[in-house]
Amino acid sequence: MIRPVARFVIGLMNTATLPSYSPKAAMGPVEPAARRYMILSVDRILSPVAASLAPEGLLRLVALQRDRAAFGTLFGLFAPKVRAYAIRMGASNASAEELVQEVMLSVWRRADTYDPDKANAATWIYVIARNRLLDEFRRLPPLTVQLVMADKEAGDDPAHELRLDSQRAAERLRMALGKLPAEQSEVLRIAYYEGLSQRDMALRLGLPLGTVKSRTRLALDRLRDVLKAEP
Amino acid sequence: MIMSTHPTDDLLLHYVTGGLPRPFSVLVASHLAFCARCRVETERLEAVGGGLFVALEVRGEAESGLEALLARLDEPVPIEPPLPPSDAETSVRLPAPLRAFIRKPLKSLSWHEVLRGISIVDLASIKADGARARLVLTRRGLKVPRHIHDGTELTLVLSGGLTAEQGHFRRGDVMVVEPSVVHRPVMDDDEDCLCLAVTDGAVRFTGLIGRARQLLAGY
Ligand SMILES: [Zn+2]
Repeated sequence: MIRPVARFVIGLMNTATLPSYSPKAAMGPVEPAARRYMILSVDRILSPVAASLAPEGLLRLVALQRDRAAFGTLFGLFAPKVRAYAIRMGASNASAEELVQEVMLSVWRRADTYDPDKANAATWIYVIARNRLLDEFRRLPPLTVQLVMADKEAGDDPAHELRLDSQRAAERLRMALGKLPAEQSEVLRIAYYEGLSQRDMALRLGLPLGTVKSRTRLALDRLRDVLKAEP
Repeated sequence: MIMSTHPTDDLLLHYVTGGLPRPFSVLVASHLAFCARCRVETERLEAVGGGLFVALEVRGEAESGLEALLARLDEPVPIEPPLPPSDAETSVRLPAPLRAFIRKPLKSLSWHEVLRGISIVDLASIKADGARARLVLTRRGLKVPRHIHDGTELTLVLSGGLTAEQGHFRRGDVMVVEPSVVHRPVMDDDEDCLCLAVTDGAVRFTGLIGRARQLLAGY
């Protein structure tokens, strides 16, 4: 356990020496004695900085300052989700492990392309994981979906009110997901966690296709309203 | 049937959740390059995915991979091959998701004429998951013989335009033809019509002349 902790501290100190971001202010001046203290009890030092930031802020730290402490916190938050997602999608334990490494490495490398106006951090990482997973399973060249945004012809996206205010919307979404009727929640989970088509889902659940379609529609309409609503 | 120039809601959802056969995904991604409405819808569906992603239950065990990963952070980033510029020899600009799979000037692809005025090229690099993608170049003004699709066919218009039972379609529009629908598109007069056509079934011509041509062309 010693070595990762030491790395965290290095990351944190790098952060503290850069002028532009606030962790330094949040932590107060770093005296030599305090540095030794940091190494001894990194958990308590880390918590007010990294842990108090939302994942969006952590991604920003990674992008702007190559902050390993922030990255370590992101890893703790999302690596288990990536693994669980890979396994629900049918990956073996070994390839799920590999996928976690690849996805989190992409997070590190591509953090500077993250746009908080477009998606919250969880959504951004989810999309990376999904694309990686698909390419992995099929052993095909990458789909390069991410290129879409850089190459659009249709002009600007519709006005900002259609956009997700990422963090608040994520919270509203979380509540709304919790409140969905069980049968609507079930179809969404199968769709997203296993990538099944509605036809395959109908077979699996022994339901008419129309029922699956209408449950999906009801659930998505409700969530869409949540995402659309002004805060 | 309501006329639409977009992929259906089911298709967009399946695209976002990752289960859509690859050729259909390439077509949908290409449409997104043209269509702000579907981009916004896709972002919303992905946000739902993000919410469900966070809600995933995880096993209680401690994460072990961080140290190994920290050691890799300074590895050089592999350089992705740049996307070829849009086709200089034709006026048709392909959307990036499609260009990533073609990577050649359109004229240098192996086209063959399947019917008079209709040339196709199979995009083997996209073929996967039981579905295939083709570029179809149809002479302006041509009336395509009546035919039936065994599977679902999606057509993305890349140049020119066409009118069919489903409506009128121009560059960036998607026409969805469900299985067993008899189909007789007519091309617009202004330009030759280039389309990306993706199907998970065969195409059968139904008229007498169409059938004969099909035999000849091995279509
Ligand atoms: Zn659209």
